[in-house]
Amino acid sequence: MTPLLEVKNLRKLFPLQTGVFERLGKMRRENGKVIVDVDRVHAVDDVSFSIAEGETLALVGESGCGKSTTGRVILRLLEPTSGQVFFEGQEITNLPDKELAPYRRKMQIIFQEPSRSLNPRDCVGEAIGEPLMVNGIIKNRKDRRQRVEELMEAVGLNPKMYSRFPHKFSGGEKQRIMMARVLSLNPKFIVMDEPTASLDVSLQAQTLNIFKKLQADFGLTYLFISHNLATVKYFCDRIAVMYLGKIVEIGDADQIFLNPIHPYTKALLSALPVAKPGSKRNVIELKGSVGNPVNPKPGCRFAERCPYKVADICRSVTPKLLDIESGHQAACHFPDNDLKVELPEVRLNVKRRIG
Amino acid sequence: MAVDVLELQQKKHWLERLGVDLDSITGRVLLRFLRNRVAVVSACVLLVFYLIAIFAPWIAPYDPIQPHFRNRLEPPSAKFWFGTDPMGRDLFSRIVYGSRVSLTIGLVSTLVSFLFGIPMGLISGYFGGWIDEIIQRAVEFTSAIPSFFLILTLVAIWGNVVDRLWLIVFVTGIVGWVGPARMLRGQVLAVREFEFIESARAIGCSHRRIMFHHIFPNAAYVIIVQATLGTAGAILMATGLSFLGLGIQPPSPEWGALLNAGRNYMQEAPWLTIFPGLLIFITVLAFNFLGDGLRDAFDPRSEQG
Repeated sequence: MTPLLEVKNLRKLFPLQTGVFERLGKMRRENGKVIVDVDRVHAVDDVSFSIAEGETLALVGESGCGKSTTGRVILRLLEPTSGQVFFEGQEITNLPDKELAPYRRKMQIIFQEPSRSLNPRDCVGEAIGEPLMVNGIIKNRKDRRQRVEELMEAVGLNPKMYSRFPHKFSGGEKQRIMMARVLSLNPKFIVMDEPTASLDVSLQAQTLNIFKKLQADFGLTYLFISHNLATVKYFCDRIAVMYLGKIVEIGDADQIFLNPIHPYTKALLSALPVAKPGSKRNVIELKGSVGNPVNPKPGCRFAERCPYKVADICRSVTPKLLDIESGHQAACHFPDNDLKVELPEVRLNVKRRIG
Repeated sequence: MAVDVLELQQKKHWLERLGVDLDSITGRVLLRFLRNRVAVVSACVLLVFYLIAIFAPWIAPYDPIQPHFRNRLEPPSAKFWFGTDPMGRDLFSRIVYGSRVSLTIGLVSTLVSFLFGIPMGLISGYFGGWIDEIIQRAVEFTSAIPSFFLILTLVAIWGNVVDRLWLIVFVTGIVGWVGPARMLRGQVLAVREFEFIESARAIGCSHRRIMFHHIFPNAAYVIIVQATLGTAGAILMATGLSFLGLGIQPPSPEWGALLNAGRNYMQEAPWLTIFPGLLIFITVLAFNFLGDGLRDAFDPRSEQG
């Protein structure tokens, strides 16, 4: 069965803004051609994965590692530098805008900051009904009202709030408005760009539950971008860990949690907070900060901070994703490293699916 | 302070009775504006001036053009409120009719400059890239032209062929597009970064819809401020030209032309310069205060309590 979404060798490089003179200084000749070496940020560098229908894939990593960029490039809100994205077997990376439109409807996005993702001058009804009107699915206001009220009920909003403006709602409610807006197009795939990161903890769980319920009701597939492993464990079937634009480990949620391979994954897991005061355990501390994504050198991107030994090969050869077990891959030259992760016991028997 | 709080409560109460949602953007802007007394007074003054201009034939007691040599250089009195000029015409009536010319120049030239400036600023900020480069170079080119001297030149060339009023209006308007274009571009760049713009793209909005439905209403406030300041500038420019004798020609009344005509009688009939000068002063000042008030009202950082 072809996966719903397949990403192959996706890259997104952002050229750094330079002045004319700087660019002139970087000009050089090669085989008679003039080439300008522009510094480029490698935001997403050779990323491949696939998501099956109905599945939730988590993309985790610290800020600036290219998670959000990956999500945006998949939807072509940003144009990829190279690589391919297949949706339902159709390559969408090179489609012109007109042919892309039907795919856009099936692929949607929810943003991190709900207060920034709704136009403050559109009332809820307009916001939720906009996709319907813009795509010509509904032609008149009366039909719009009816459909919007259905959608509001589906996401647990009171339809009486139809003509209220976004500033009257809480963050969680705004996120549900966004969800209703997106669902109006009957999408199959939704990129969730840290949808709960800016909500209160009490609201996070509630909002996640609504997303789960909607996933079942509408048959949705999620790409869940997050930096919170605890949330991810609860919410996702598979996990991909990103570091500096590359996927360093990917596998089923259980595989990642019970048998992490990559030192970075291990470090992330060891840093999970424990809900037991006074408990001691080894946290794998990472020294320094995330490296510079501008013109990275070959070799492992994590080499500078790796808590395991760093050999010459780490600095010279970029590690490829290697099969560890079925469906579980890691990009490390030393997959049998003996770094130990002490997971809080509670986490080991977390039920993957709720209800 | 207690009086202030009481007044604020009262204003909130009025707005609520008018059906304004005080939590909404418009409601908060309105409230902040109403708390600025100078700006509110300025707005009222300008409103009165424009009403006078519109209803000039009903307000002016005498004909502004027809000379009555029997009433030459009468000082201000109950009969002639602002006195009369050397040809016996009532100055009040001339100022009332003159306001039509001066205020029209201000308003229409601002409209013309916005007609060019708004699309340019929107396109420049929204699309960016080489389109932005070209428009910004055009902005710099236009702002390098001293508009006052450009108009002087054009009046000298075409002054007798085309109606000077419209020549002044259109040239100030066309040269003035850079102000709104630059301001709007800056604001568009800020609004463009909001996720609701990306969301609009994801659901399939056209560029036109994103620009006019999502970006413009959220960026337009800078334009409103610019409009008031621009109008003041245009009025000052037009009166300046007329004062130099290059703008609107006598006998048609225009504030700058009235000022120029009164110059020769400054000793024996000072009212001929005082009243037109005062009106130009008040109008331009009111526009500037209004602009400042609007800018503060739209700026959420100026909120106190």
